[in-house]
Amino acid sequence: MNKKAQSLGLGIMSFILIILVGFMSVNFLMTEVSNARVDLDCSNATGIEDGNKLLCLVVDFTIPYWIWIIMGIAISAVTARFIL
Amino acid sequence: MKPFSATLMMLVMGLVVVLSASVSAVVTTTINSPADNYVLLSNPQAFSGSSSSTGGVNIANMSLWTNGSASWGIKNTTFLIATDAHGNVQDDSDVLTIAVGGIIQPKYDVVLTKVTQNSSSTGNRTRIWYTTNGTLLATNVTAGVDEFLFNVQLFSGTNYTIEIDGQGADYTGTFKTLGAQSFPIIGSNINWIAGCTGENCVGSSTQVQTIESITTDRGFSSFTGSLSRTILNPTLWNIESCDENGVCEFAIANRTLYVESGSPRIEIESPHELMDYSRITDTEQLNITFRDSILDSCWYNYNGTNITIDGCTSGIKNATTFAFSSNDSNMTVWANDTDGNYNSTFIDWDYKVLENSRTHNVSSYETARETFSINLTANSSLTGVKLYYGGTQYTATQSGTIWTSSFDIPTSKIANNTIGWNFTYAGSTINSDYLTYQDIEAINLTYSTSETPYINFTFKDESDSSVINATIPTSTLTYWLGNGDVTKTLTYINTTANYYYAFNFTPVARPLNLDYRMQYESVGYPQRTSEPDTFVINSTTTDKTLYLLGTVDGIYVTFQIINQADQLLSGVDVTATRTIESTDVIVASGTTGSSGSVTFWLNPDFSHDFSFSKTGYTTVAYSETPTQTSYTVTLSGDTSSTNSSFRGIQRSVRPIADYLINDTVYTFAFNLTSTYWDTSSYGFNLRLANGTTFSGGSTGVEGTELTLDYNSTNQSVIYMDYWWVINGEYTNATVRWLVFNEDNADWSLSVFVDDLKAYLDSGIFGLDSFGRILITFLVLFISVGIMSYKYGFTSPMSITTLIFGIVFILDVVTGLIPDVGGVSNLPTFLAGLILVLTIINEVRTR
Repeated sequence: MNKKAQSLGLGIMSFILIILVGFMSVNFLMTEVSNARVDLDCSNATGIEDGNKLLCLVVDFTIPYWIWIIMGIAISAVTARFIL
Repeated sequence: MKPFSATLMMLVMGLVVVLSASVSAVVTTTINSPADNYVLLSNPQAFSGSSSSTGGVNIANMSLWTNGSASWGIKNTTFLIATDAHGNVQDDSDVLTIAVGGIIQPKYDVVLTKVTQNSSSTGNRTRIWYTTNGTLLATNVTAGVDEFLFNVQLFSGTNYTIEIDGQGADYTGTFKTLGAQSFPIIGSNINWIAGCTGENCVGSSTQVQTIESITTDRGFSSFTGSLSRTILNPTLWNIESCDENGVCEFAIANRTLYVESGSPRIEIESPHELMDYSRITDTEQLNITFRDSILDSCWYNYNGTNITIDGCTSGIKNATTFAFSSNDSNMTVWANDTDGNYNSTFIDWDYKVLENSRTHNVSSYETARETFSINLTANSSLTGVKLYYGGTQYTATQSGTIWTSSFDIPTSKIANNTIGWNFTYAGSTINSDYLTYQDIEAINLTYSTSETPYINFTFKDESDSSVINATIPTSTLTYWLGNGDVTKTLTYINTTANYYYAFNFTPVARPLNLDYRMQYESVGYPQRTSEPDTFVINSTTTDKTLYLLGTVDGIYVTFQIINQADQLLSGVDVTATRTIESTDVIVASGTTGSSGSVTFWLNPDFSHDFSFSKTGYTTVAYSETPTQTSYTVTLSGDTSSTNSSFRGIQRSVRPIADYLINDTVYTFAFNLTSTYWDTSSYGFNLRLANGTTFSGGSTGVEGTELTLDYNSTNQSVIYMDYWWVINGEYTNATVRWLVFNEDNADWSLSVFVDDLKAYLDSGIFGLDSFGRILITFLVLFISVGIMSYKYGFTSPMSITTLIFGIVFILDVVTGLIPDVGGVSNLPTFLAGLILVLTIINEVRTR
């Protein structure tokens, strides 16, 4: 097996590892996001301050953003070895 | 062993013994009632507690402690084990010792273990009797002892007499009985001087064989008891249990008892705020409880009238009914006490479904068309109403506040049928608890000799109009009262020639729809068939003259009917009409079979009017003198290739949404109308991914919406297979809904988008429409700038594509861009148009 093939295999294993660890960590974030939304009263669009609204949007964006980061890192782990 | 070691060993062993004793003997006390912070409503108040002990040590007593201050003030130890015949309270120790014998009454089941006589006594026999009937229970004869041992079960509430005597000529068993007695009682061998209440037997002139004590073993390791006490002030209380070793324990926490004061309390159970169903003419039930230790009277004011609640007692629920008035759904309930304190509570209630009225006939007949209506007051949450008629469900349609269901009464409903309704309200089903009834009677068309039948068939010779007799090889008379959805059939055969055949109908006075097919013949007359269109008959006799044509006067004429594609047509109704005695008479009629032909016996000397008709084809009618034996008739109109079973069919399916949410109840509905075909029936089934099906029902009445409520649970997809039947031809189709699971949607990007829309709509950082557009412009400017500068996006195609994508996300997905000129998503359309033009231009220039 040549060096590039070995590198690709390592990249795929890294991809799987990053995906597994990353998505397991989402569970912790879900609880925190839910609590934060309750504490900030995010569902009450007319009754909260503008700053809280902005904070709510940031909180709402946490999980999708985290998933994007995980996917980005995982894909990078594979493609970097392709490029190399 | 050294002394010190021995001493230490003894100390350790002693400690072990002490610890063992302390560990093994545990008393636990539990308070049963009343609850903590209970409000006393009437005196005396009952207190209940339980105690238990372990380690073989029995419960000695339980005590109720009350005071109301910081230290216990009142102890009441009244959990007794036994009393003697004189009502003397015995002690509560485990081993019950009754000071002096006589008659005893155990309060609990005990075992008598020993009877001890006074040391100065010389008795040698002890006996135990049932006091009430004098039956001997046990005897112990032992000389020279003071203690007579037993093992006799004594039961609570039973009187036993204990007696010691000398078992000789000097003594006989005599004992004191309960109640007033004159002493002394002089016996043959013993004088019972008085009921001894003490060891000294005060009042006795002779002390003979005095019983020193009676010993029982009750062995209670657990005990539950109660007692009552008058409580006048708020009181802190607890229950204490002690075992026979003197170890006592209170219940784990003290409790507080409050005494009711001030105005009476009013607790209303019903009517409450929003109830399911009622009728405006119904009675409503008032369930209410008043609480006051000195409650005096109770009443309520409804519809302007004060009504007294008789027999209202504190703490006991009152149930009284009142006539509900549709325009008054509130009342005020009052109560007062003997101190003049008043209290009132206002109740205002409403109903999800309020029945204003219902309409239907109280009696009818099978096959008759009956309409059932119910007038309801409800909000838009009422989405469906169903009629239950004799156990069968029918769907009702809405018109304003009135829901109506109409159908022909099935022949299986000859009974006094119950009529109930149920309502689909906010996804739940509410049943009307009020039933009405409709009595259904049978209808019958029978051969009759009555002089006034409904219909009378006679026969004439077509050639000379002479009356002749005829036989009926077979006939089928189909009749009904309603729309014909439900019919009854009479098959009549008579091979004996008669001049007339009369048929009568019961019950009378109802117009009857009749559709018959009769084959008739006579000697010298070939058989003919009469099959006219449906007509109505009633109590005024309808005379039907059927004409026969002699064998020598006619010929057989066959008509073959084809369509424009020269295909044989079956099911074509053919009639041949002749003018006889100035009257147009259908002399022959029939329907083509699969051969596309029908044969008549006709008179070739006269002109006949022929008619050929079939649904979907243009009716052909012409006059002809049938001199030939066969004719071919072409019906123009739809060919089989154009007669689509979808023609004119309009279907509607609910839910309208393309997808469903899990764990949600949906009303699946299918409705069908046709502007072309006359559909025989239609219906639908729900089908799950695993093949399980649920019937949504079927109907033959076009425009009737069939519904089925179903919870999407955790299904992934739900199919609706709907079908309809036209002239026996079955057509079906399927629609499906994907079911989305929203369990984890709380963290999806949609939440961000939803919040963003909500915040933009409610206002955030003072952003108005101009601000939103400005942000959009900045996003576009920066994005395009970065992509151009960093990644070399400079071609018109790539830039317009990028702009379209960004505008689409900001406009359609997030709703950030406000409507321009009142047109929704106009920027997206414009960006898309520019993109298309750019693409066209790109293609054109290459």
